[in-house]
Amino acid sequence: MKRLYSLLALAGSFSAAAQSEKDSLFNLVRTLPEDTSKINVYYQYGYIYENINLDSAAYFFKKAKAIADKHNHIKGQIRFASYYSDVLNYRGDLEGSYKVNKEALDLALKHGLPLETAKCYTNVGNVFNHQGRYDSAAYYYTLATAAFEKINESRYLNIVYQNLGNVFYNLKQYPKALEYADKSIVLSRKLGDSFSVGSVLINKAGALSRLKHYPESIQQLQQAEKIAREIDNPYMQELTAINFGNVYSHTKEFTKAIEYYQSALAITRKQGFRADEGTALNGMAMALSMMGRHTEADAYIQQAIGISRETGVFFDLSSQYKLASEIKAKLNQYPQAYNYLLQYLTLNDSLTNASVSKTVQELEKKYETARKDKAIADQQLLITKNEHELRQKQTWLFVSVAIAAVLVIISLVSYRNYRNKRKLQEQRIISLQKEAEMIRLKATLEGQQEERQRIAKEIHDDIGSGLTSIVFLSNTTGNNGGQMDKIGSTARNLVNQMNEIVWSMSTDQDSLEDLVAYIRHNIGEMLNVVDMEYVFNIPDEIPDIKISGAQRRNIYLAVKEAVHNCIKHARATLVTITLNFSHGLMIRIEDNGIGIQQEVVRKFGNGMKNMQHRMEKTGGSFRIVRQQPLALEMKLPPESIL
Amino acid sequence: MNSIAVCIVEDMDDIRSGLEKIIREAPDLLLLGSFRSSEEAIQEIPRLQPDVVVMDINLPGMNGIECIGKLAGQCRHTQFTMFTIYENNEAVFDALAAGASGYLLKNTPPAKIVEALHELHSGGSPMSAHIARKVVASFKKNTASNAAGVLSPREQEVLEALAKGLLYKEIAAKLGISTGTVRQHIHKIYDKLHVQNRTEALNRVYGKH
Repeated sequence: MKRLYSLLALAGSFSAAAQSEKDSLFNLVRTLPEDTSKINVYYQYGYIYENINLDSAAYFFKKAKAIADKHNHIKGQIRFASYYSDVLNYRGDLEGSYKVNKEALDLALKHGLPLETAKCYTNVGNVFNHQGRYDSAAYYYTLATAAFEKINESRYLNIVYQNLGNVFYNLKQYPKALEYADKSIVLSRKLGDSFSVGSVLINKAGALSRLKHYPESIQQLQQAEKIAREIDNPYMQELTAINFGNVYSHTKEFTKAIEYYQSALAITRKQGFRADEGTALNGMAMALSMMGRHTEADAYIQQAIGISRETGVFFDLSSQYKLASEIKAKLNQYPQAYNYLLQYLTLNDSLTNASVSKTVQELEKKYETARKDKAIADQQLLITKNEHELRQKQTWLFVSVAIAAVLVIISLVSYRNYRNKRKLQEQRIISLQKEAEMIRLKATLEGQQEERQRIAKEIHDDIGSGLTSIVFLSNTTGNNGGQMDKIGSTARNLVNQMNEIVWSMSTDQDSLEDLVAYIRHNIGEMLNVVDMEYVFNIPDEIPDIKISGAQRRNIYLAVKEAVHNCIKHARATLVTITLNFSHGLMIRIEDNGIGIQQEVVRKFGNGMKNMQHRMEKTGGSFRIVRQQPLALEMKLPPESIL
Repeated sequence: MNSIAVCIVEDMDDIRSGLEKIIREAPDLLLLGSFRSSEEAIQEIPRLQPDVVVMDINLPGMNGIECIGKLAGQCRHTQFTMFTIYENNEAVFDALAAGASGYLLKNTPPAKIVEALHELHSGGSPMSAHIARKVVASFKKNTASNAAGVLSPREQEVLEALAKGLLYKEIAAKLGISTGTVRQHIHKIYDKLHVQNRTEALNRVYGKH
């Protein structure tokens, strides 16, 4: 779900064009009288702010609604739902989003506005879709299609068809999914929307694949491939290639599958589509493993895992751990196989069934044997019936993950299209490219390829330049007051955040000593600014260990959050931060404040959870050692240090 | 009182004009020249002999680091400061080694920029923990003994404290000096870094080891 919203947040055009648009809108906002013509302007202004500052966006939307309410402007009131529910969706408040949309729907029904009613049905359906409540979504989408069909609204209808197709796919009702896919293709062709045709064809291929109709599935993909070339869309090209790979894996034509994965890999690497690069690598590993080429498969799955760890996509990561475990077992590397299986189970505890525990037991046994003898005595890893079933399940899982990822992205794009029809093409491409950029940004480079370093540096410089320009422009624009200052300070904060990313990515600051100095300095700065006393207990001897960029960043951010909480909530006058290196890395943060009670833990529970999540993500731990006053301990054991 | 003469080398228009405005509006700063590229700067700056040059790192054509290398010799009394987006950039250290005596984050609010330029002119420089570590490493690599052979005891202390991540305020308290003095020590450390690099370059040219 997190990826959905980050994509939403990135779609939209905050560009130089938007800047001048913003300026002229800003003037309009100031000069127009408070009547109905201003409603639209407020909506547009707020829409631009969705990508800058959500609170400002909400503010403008509410202003628009206030005018609409005052003048009893029904359509203006209804439009509030679609704009404001975006803000709520970004904030993760799906309940609120549903409520707002339901209100609008009631208004539309009451006043007999067919187009608005249909749009509202769709919006309500979207909320359910985001929540994963697919039957409710289907119900509302079906109402929406009836309404759009009645008034002959092809473009919206097309989108709802696509959404319905996706929803039925998620409900595993594949024939229905195909039915709506076909309806959408017909409309898309009529509207000349090649992008949609291609996307839906890929979805069709997925559903047909689920029904085991592989030849038909291939047919769809071939058509999609052709379209992707025609409209020159690399994202569609690589998705098609990945899906080809998946289908050929099913039909056991592994050589073909590998060819397609290779071509997908090339595209994802060129375009920087990190997440799909991971999927392609995963597919390669799968296919190679099936062909018995385990050593090669191992190399690919390791790369895939690396990417999933960087991008934080745990969904993919868990099935990758499973695959890695199997491959390691095939290579007779039982300790690693066992470790991967444990990681898989930790990440995915819903999949405990008899066959998995049987596999765990077998591997445990072999691990013990290997450990005792220091030699792998038992060379035969029995391919038991259960293991075979397990591998099949895993195939399905990873295929459905790849296809689900496509569908999620596509249904998400349809949702955006509904909001802004004219900018459809550009926004899709921009949002996908921006997602790729952001994923690239988040990637911590472990110094493997200089090319990646170089690209990342260029991106940081580019984005840093852009942000710095904003900072300077907001400096010198004089007394526009709050607006410009807010923009300037937002841009400043972003540059600071990127500074942290640049730090975590640099390969010449990767020692434990660097991390300690960085924490010492920045946290000292934080506490100094609020005039808080602090004591650092740091041993003089710091072991000569290297820590990966991702780990450094997570550790630093966890510490930063803990200290930030302390400043905000603890009412303390002294913070003591103790570091210890006797067993890996240990950081203890305590204050002399009021500590926390149980209710407070829940209240800023998210903060605690974040820290815990960060530490666990890096292979460490986080715990509250004492509640009053508060003492926290973060550990990173030596075996987890990458 | 003499104003401090400043030159700017920055290719991004918004940033350059923003910086020009800041300098023009500051009472004790004088904008002597503003250039878009290293090539222009190399032509004009030796003629102008400003007190301070604010130099961007990423320039079209020759980059800021090379530019400083070329200008430092001809402008013995000019202080160069790098104008950089990120503090933790690897290029910053290279620039300092090449002849810069400080760095300035582009993100800095205008008032602080003016302050920093004044400070640089009166011999005070900033140094982050990371740069401190690199400086330590650099001295270690290039002198037969350690930095003790080149740096004074106080400078050694300051450098080690910085490398550990202590703030200027803390170092000042620890050594019983003011933060301004801490920055002056840093400035002298950079001077010695420059000398060392020039010596190294000379040694290379003349085949000495």
